[in-house]
Amino acid sequence: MKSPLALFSREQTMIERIAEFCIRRRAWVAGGLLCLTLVLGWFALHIEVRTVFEDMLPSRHEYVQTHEKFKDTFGGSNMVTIMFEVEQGEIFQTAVLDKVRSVTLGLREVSAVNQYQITSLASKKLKEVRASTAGIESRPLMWPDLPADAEAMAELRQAVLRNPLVYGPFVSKDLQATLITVDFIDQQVDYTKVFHEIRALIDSVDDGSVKIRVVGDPILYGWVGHYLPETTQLVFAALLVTLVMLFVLLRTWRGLILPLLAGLVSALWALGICRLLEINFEPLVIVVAMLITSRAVSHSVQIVNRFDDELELLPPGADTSRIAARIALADLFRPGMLGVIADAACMAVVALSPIPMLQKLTVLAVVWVSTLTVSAVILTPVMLSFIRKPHGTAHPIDCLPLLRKVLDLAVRVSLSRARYVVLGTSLLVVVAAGLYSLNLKIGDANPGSPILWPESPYNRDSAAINARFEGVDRMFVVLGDDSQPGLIKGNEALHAMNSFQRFIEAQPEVGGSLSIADVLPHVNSSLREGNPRYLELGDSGAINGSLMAMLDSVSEPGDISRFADDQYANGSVTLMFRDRQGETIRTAVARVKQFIAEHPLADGQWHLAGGLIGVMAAVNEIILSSQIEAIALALLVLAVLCTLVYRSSMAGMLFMVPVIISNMLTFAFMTWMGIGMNINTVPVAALGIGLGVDYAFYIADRVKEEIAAGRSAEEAIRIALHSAGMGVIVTASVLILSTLLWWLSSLRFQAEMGLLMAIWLSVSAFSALFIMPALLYVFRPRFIFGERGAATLVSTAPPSFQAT
Amino acid sequence: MSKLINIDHPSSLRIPRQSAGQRALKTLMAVLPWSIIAGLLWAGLFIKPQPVGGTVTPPALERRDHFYGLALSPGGEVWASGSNGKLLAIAENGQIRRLPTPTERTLQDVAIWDASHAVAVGNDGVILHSQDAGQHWQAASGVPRSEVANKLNRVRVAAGGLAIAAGEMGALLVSHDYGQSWQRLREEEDVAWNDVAILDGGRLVVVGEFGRILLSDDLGQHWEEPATPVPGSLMSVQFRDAQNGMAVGLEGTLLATSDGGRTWEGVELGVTDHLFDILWIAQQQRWFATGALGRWVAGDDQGWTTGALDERNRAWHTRALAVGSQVWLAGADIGRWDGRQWSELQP
Repeated sequence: MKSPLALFSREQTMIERIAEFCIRRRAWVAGGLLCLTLVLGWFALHIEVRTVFEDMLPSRHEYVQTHEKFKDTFGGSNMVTIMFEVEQGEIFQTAVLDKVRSVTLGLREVSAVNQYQITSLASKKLKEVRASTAGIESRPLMWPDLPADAEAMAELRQAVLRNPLVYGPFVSKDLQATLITVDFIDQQVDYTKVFHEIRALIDSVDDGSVKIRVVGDPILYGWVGHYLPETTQLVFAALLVTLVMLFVLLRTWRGLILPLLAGLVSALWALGICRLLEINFEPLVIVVAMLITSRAVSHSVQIVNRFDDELELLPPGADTSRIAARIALADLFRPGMLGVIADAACMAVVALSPIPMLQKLTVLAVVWVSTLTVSAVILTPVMLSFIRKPHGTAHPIDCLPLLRKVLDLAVRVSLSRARYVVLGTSLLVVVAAGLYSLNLKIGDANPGSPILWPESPYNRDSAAINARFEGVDRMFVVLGDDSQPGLIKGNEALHAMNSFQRFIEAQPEVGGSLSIADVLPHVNSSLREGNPRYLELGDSGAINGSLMAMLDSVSEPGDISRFADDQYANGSVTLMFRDRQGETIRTAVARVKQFIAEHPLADGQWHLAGGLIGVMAAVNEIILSSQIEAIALALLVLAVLCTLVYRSSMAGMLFMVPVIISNMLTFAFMTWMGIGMNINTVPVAALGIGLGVDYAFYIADRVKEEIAAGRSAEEAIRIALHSAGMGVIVTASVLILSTLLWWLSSLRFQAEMGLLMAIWLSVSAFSALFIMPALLYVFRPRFIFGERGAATLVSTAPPSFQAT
Repeated sequence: MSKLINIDHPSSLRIPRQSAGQRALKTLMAVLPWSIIAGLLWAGLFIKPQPVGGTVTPPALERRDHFYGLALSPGGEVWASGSNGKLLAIAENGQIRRLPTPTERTLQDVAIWDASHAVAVGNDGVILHSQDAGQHWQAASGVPRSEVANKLNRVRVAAGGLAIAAGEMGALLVSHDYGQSWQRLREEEDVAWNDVAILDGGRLVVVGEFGRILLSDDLGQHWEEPATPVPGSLMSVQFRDAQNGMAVGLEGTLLATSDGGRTWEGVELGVTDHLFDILWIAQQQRWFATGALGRWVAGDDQGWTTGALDERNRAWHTRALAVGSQVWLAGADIGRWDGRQWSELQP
């Protein structure tokens, strides 16, 4: 059997050979990479930037299948709600109703609108059912024309007041607001287009006399798109900050250009490859892109830093750059590659999720991170080797002594008794943070959309509509059986729906519910001269059947379709939600399931759950059930990778420490800030796992190198902290500052993710500088320090000699 | 190089001197990482947290509730009966508790004799009675049924455990034992009786569909039917003494009698909304009627006034009950009317 040391040296030789080759053939390498970059860059310019709704749906989930089957009739997840609100008086004024009518008619022209799903006072769908001597009749409330005079207006007002399907759901109880709801055809909806068309339509009637508020997912994602220019500006600002700080700290042009080049090349490659794979770029993903680019900068800075260190040791000469570049490439190849591959592998775990958006994002991220192997680890040293006059600085300001003080502190802490304090405190903090983050919310943690700030127009609109009406976000539950036409007309189904609605409405966040079982009582009462003692479903199937027939006879095609399909085999119960918090959705779904379990049906089944809330429930359930999976498997991948690379299972354990620390603290921070785990935050969290460990690799690897070169443990740690540690502290401080810029974003999601990344970077830098060296010094793992017994002796013996 | 030699030398010396404890520790250190890795794999593959929802306690008063009947208990509580077999006791301080009933049928009316006895009637001929102030309710057995329809709309009680329930298919049922057993007063016929007034001396005045009125002087042994004054349904009848009474009905019908119900005279109000209940408020010495779309009507021999409870609340109410200076109303919602302001109980 070969000894690990022999294996290492063979590996080392191989790395040396790669380094040697890259530098010798540097013109070819650089030229080849340039060509590749140009080609992929051309594709990258053509990448599609948009949100594809269907990508968010886990298509195999039970709820999503129900949603897909019934969304065209029972209401999709892209419903837009428009509220017209007067501050004084009532909406029954010609000027107000005229606006409602114009918008209702204008909505037909908006792209991807489902023509049959535009509902308002001015649509044909809101009707009054009345019994008269001639029989039962139904007529639209305000279609096709506005009330002609005051009398007609008063009549309309009365008609609204006596119709509980309108008064409440479409006209607010205080008569100061009315709604238009409109649904879209999911496959065709383009959020940006819909957003602009609806805004233009509203602007055309908005004269300030009436408050018009709009909510719905197309509008929400429209806002995200609306802020895209601002987001781009922030990207450039962050980039600028990064470059300026790098220039100031490193004092060389190479320290500024090469990290930029590394970031740019991998961005172009990644976007180009994704374009070829036909993956679209989601605007919210920009955070992930920034995160990966920050990795590129980190790796590149490490190499530039190492290059600078080597230069100081070499005598000036023609070949200094080449030699220093080769050494930097050879020495940093292992930690650099390991860091990149660990990042990519931890991220790849997210692809196990059945949500297409996360899968696509994973591909994007993995490809992007993988390109760093070339752009940062290889390209940077190759470019460094071209430098003609490597010595000297570009400007006189030297901030490094300040940073060295921090590093000195790190050395002192790691080598003195303070190391036990650091380790003990970290353990306590991690355990406390871990316990606290058990409260981390799955799904949205607050009312309103977490993507935008609470005071954003969208969230204010959403709160205003939810305060006046039953709730804008909907979920439908289907009762039925495809093989039993007419099931919904039956007694059992109708009474089941009715008691289901009663049961589910007990939850305060459910503002109301609607089904065919709410319509029939009005037919029943109308037939009984409007006697409210008959405002109920019939006792027998025969009565309900005849009520249904009566309703059919006065309905037009499409009137019933939001309640039941054409064969009456499936009927829907639509639940209106006042908020879409994870807890609200979870409770509602659990209660739906409880009801179904407690009230078994002889015929037909209940199907959960469509509409926006149904789909969100599915996504949240998947995120919840895969939460442990994602973290555990990412840690597993990391541990296995480290075990393989360092041929020591202890290495796997050791490198899990900084990851666990940074994750626990980040989760605790998310809990504290009220940021929930949802479809948007999951990829950031997954990427963070790989992120936590990069810095530790550089430090530990440098310690290992120095030990192998025959230095004592103390000396090795001191050198590692002052060389690799300098890279860590430079990149961390630069990136923390530039990610904090995101706090200015109009998109709350981006601001919070920026903050999250800043925390991640700080914690992982701290753990690389203070915790890892202390940990290494205390535990003396064999894969770094050689045989255990020797290491202890080496470390304890020399100080005692010095003391004497 | 000297340090490298140092590394090799002592370690080779130490190995033979390892104690059992050290060996165990070494084994543990070798096994631990792998068991952690295995644990992660297991957790990653098999731990799937399941969603747990919060608990929800349904409030006594729910949005979907309709109430049809009201009664005042001797303790000062207002009892309201309604959909889903619901019977609520509303205390003076606004606290609401639900009385346990053995039915999910809509309870159309409730009436109270005294501190312990009460009765409630409703859909499908359901009659519940309580002997312990509403703590427990039992369904009356052997209630006469029709093959066609059995909704009971109203129940009235009088001293001595007398109760009369009126309902669909000509149902007029009587009980003499605080609602435990029931007999028919009349044969089945295709008319719904909506209300019955029980006057002193065993006189009954019944109103119902098609404007029909029935009179009896001997608690239903014999009946006479005066001419129908209006074609529309009469919904409620009430007497303030043996001779003077009022009846209300659909489309704003308001009828007055001063001969114990034999002849009726219409009061023209110009109201077209349905009226569902009429009440004599002894304290104010005037009549009060309630109906659809928040309509109320009040007055006496001097004249009548009418209005809506609230411009923005057009709920219907089928029952009114005078409590002190206020009137409780039950229907699509439940609340109090003090003559000027409508205060709805919020679910």
